[in-house]
Amino acid sequence: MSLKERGKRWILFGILLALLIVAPHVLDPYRRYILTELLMWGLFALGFDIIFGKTGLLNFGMSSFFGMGSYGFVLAVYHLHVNLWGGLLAAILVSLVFSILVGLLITRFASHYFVVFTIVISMILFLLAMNLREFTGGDEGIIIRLRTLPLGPWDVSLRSAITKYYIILGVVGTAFFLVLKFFDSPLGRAIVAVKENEERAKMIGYDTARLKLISFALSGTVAGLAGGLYPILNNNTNAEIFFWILSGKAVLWSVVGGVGTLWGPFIGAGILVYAEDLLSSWLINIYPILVGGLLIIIILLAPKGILGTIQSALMERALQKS
Amino acid sequence: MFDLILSQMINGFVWGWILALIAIGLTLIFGQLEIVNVAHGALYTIGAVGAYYCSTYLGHWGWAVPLSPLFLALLGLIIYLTTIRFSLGKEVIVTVIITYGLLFILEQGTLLIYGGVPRMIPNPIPYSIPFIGGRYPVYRIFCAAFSAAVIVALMVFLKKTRYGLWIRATRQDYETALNMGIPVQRVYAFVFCLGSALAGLGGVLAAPISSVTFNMGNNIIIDAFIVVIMAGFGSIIGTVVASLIIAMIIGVSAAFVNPVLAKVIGMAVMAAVLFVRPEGLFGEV
Repeated sequence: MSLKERGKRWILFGILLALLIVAPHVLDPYRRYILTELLMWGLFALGFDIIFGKTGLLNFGMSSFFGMGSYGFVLAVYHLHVNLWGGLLAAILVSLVFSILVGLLITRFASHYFVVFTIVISMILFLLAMNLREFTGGDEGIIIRLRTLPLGPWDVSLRSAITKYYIILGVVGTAFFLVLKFFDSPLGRAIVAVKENEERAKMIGYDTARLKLISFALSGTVAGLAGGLYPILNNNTNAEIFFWILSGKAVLWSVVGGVGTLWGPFIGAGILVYAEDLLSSWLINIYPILVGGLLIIIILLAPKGILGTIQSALMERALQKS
Repeated sequence: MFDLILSQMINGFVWGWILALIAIGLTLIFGQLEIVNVAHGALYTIGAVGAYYCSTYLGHWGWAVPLSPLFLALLGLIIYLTTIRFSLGKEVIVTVIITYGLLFILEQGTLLIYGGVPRMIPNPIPYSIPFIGGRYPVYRIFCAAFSAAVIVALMVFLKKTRYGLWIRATRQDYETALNMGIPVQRVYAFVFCLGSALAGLGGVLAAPISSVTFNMGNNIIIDAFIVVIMAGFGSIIGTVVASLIIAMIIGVSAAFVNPVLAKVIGMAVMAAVLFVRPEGLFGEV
């Protein structure tokens, strides 16, 4: 990448960052909440993009990780009385362990079995979460109250929505940056190689099973981290989070935004979460029908998603010029 | 205690035949079109809802037995023509996403039309026969027998008729079938309709046993997937056997543990089978 292109990129990043930092002060509370939500859901969809867009494994059960992370956070705060950082750490650990265990079980399977396994696991987790009421609170869930946050020598109050926004922005931004860096690293590129052509990757000497497991664990942990953000935003979590429709949304947002681009999930989540929140209540009744229809139309007509299609178009133009 | 296990086993056995209908529909669609039909449960639900409407408005549940599957076959045809056929030959994600989208549409549509309230259908055969100390409902015996008869008819159809031959030929070797003049597109559409109709029939039979809710399909789809994976795609008899085994295991487990944990046990059994034999018990590699 030339110096000019690098410069352009940094400028774009900078503008984006500046906008995000300023945003909570200029937006009304409703829109501010939506923006905070967008960051969280974008991170969640990023988890899907890692395992599918970058590794080629279709995990249709991302809600499992989100739910595990969310409950990891809430249960740690509620029972162990840790602070926000402890909660996030718990979310990461729980989803990491869970995704490694599940990954060990299912990454060995071929694509069709793999998908069905992820679906079955997520549906069963949902049923378990709803049924084990003493543990999870069922659909009423568990409420937590985090009042302050120790940040170095200060104690930041968590009452303010703006504080919450910055915390979530910080977490999402850091995680996203790390994921971007990861896929630029040799390990990340090896994982993408597995997606491109697993046989050839094996012939080069890559341990594809281990690579798939690593990616699966990363994907699950990212989604679980996003799950840990949910109770920060909403002060509670509940078993409905495990519902399979959430898994479908991760797929939808990534596909709409552009699979494999890592930015795509945020774009897709941005557009669709905003649309969903914007719809008036009567439209809520047919919203799942619209989502279903949109999924079908997009996957048939524009499978690369918004960002993917733009990238392809740009590449075409660049190739034609040369 | 022994009575409990026995009655659970019998219930599981009966249920296994109904589950087999649904699982066979799923495995036919997958075997033929390589489509993981995530919306299969919704088709089952629509069949059950149809049974409710027949029972309430046409007077008797019995009308649903021909009408629901017919309706589902028609619905399946519409679905096939508008979405499925464009996905043939594309990668897994395309077909999974399409059927996932269909699931959203079908389930929400059912919710809007039928409503969110679970409703019961009166037992169509309200008799019971004396059985080991208690009485066993005739209706359940009928379900098992009827399902078995349908499955046998299906196997005869596949083995002995020309269309059945076309179906098997297309599955074995698409290219050659095409070259031999078999109307492959029509075969695909037919199989999808057939699978949908079977799911609907399963719903009709199940409707009087449990209550009819708009999302009852979500429960059954887990079991159906477990069965189909465990049996391996391809063998009808294998699917039936796996259905019975899984249904009985889940049924007996449910007597001792939380019904959801029973499903987890079912899933564990499936995973264990796959470890030993990755193509499934009866799968064709």
